[in-house]
Order: sequence, then C-alpha cells, then structure tokens
Amino acid sequence: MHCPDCGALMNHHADKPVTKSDVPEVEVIVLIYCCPNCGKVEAEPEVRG
Amino acid sequence: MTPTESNDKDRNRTMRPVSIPVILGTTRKGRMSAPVAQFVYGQLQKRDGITTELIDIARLNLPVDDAGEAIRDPRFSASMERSDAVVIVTPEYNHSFPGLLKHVLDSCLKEYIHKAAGIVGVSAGPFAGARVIENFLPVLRELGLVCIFWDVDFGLVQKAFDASGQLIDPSYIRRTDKFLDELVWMAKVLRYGREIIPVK
Repeated sequence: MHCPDCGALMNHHADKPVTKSDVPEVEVIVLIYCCPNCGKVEAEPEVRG
Repeated sequence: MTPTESNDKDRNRTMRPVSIPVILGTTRKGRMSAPVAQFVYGQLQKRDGITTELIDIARLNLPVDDAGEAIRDPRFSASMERSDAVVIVTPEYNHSFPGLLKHVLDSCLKEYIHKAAGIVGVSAGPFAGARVIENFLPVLRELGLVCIFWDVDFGLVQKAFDASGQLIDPSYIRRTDKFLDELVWMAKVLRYGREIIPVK
C-alpha cells in the first residue's frame, strides 16, 4: 500500500483481530499500515477463514 | 541506499517531533482531574521535540445513541492518528474509569495500534487511583495501545492543588518527569517499529 498523502510505500506493521464473524472459523482482521515518511495510518479489512 | 543516505533518513525520522496529546477523561462538574491534566500538559509543553494538545472529552460531544467507529469525531480521530503516544488522565469512580471516557476511546481503532499509552490516575481517596489503572489496562491493550510500566497516581488530589488549580505538592514534578521520560522513549521505539519493521 502507498501513502494516500505523500505516496511513500507504507509499512504493514500489524494484523488486528477485530470481530468474530457469524460464520465459525472465520474472523475479521484489520491490516494496519504506517507511512515511514509522514506517519499516516491506514487500515484495510481482511476476512480469514 | 548508501549508509550515509540511510543515516540521514534515520536522523530525519528521529528529529520529527513526538506527538503526545493529553486526554482529560471525565465530564463531571467540579472534576479535580482538570488541574491534573493541565499540569501534565504543561510539563509536556516544556520538553523539546514534543508536540502536545489537551483534549477534553467534555468538549467532544459525541452522540450516545450509537457507539464505536460509527460516531468517530474527525478532530479526535486526527489527533489520535497524529499521535505517537497518549496520556490519559482518568479519575477513579467506583473503582473504575468514567463510561464516557470508554465511549470516546471506542470511537477509534486503527489510530491507536502500536502506540504508547501512559495512565495518570486521580482519586480523592488514599489509594491514588491505583484501582482504576489496574482496571483500565485490559481496555487499552485491546485497543492496540502499548502501556508503559510507569503511572502517576494523584491520591488525595484535593491536597495536591490549591483552589486556583496550581500544584502545591512539588513531589509530583519528579514523578511526572520519570513517567514522561519512559513514555517518550516508548513512543520513539514504537514509531520506529510502525514505520520500519513489517509484521511478516
């Protein structure tokens, strides 16, 4: 992912489990990114199951 | 990248100010947490390389007919995103933290991940907010914040400040300095980790 503010390549530094879905064995993870240039934080959801 | 270029980049990163807002975590009238938050905010302002602001949750006016990220306040969210660490000043009400403080904190998530948190407990009693701090730790952990192992505990807070809100117990200056030293160190370490070290 590239920073929406400055265009630098962002560092993927965390996978945060947010909520269990209604489906057993499936969980929602939020992938957290940080920009090494300006500190911008971004997140995108990922469903794993 | 040459070693010189790498060193220059690291130096620039280190020189960026560390952002540490102070959250005043109660809306109660006559709150003694207000002079405490003002004191901690003042101590942060005296430090080089630090940017800070005082966030009073009473001024956020979040709705209470919903909760979580759906009621995110754009200014609060932006402050949390800018932050490298956060100081939370919380009173102890019935052994715990104010519900509205939790309501405010729950309105963000990605903004907190891998950032440092320091807790300042406030109590009119002799236990100095120790119980609220213990109860608060699992909440902050779940939000993705990394709590430092120093706290500042303002017990018998009504004796620590005069009627105008000025600190009259100088021992809190040294305690707060130690607390902030640790918080700034953790903030820098975690910022390096967020920006440089991938999860996998």
